[in-house]
Amino acid sequence: MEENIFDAIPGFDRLLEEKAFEALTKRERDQVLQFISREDYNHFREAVLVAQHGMQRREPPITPDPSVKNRLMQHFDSESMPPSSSIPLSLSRLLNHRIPFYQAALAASVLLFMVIFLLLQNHRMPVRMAVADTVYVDRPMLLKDTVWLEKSGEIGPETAMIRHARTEPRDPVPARSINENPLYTRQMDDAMRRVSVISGLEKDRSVNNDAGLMKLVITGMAIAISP
Amino acid sequence: MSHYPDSYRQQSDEELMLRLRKMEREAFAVLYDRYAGEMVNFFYRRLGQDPDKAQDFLHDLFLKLLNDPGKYTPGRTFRPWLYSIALNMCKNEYRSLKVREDYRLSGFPEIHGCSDGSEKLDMRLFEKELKVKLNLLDEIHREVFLLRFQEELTITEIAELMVCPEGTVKSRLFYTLKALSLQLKVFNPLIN
Repeated sequence: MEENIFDAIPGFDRLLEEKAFEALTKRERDQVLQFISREDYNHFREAVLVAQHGMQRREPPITPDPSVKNRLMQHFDSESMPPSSSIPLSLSRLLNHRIPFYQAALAASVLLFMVIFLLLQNHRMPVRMAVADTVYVDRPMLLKDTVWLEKSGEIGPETAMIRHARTEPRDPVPARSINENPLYTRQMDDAMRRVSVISGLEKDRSVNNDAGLMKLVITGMAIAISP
Repeated sequence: MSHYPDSYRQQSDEELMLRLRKMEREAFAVLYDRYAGEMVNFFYRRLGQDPDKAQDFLHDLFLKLLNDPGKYTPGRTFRPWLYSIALNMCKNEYRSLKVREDYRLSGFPEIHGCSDGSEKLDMRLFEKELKVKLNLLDEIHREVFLLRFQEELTITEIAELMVCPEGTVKSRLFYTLKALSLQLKVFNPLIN
């Protein structure tokens, strides 16, 4: 295989461009002549210079049109500007957004568990139901709602009297006379200790109703009076 | 040119290209200023000396850089990479116009307004002959010769552009020069 002069003489291409054979140093000439003749060197150089002169004769042949750069810079600005209108959520962008399958599956399972949990919670919610309760009171009190009074005893003439008192209440005893009569006061206290109030849970347990108070007092009086 | 910060003007092509990948405006502007003149003349020579077409191709070349700077591989030399894009654009144009033979060697200009001196006439004849002889060579050898002595790329850059070893480029150059020398012996050396 023929040895390549470009490999043997580093920068041989530059030499062709810059120096005629006569301008070469002795060392360069010797190197060149090991591969090609002087005539060949000059022919090589002719071809090189004609190729180069072709450019140099038209210097500067043409210059870039300034409008080219302007258009490019405008394009750059439009491309690099953040698309402000498209940043807000657009429906098409959301619909076209692709997520990995595992993420979709994970989200679906979380939703499923949430639904199941809420359904179970609904089943555990307390049921509104009436609960019987007994309250012992030892003094007059305000009642908001209906109060049932119980009295343990035997059915006898006194029970009939109570029933009579409920249906046909007598004139209420004046509060003053009750307070002044120690017998009445003691009996009232005694009777009130025996009053039990039954109420539903949904009913307000506070007793602040005047009508209820009067009812209690009247009923209590009736019980106290009875032997 | 002086309105760009020194930090950009002093950077290498490769550093600017990396900045362009991050969409830095000044990097693009500096790269354009460095290569616009060179590339517009490259297109001018390669595309039938049509100045309008050369400007259009210059625009398209830098538009490619702008639209897809990610195609530049970090570590690669910028200049041969740019030339490889430009060469491909020219080849596509040759194909589309189907006037390849007319355009192929249009890099050698016509000599306008030359005097009647015999030396210039010889030069003109020599150029015409060189066109013809180069045209007879295969594309690879012709391209290596033109890239080296017309576009003034270095052997290293041509090797990078053509994705081949430097030794291959040197061999192709030597082969081309020898072939031309044999065929052009009838012409006397013009420059001594």
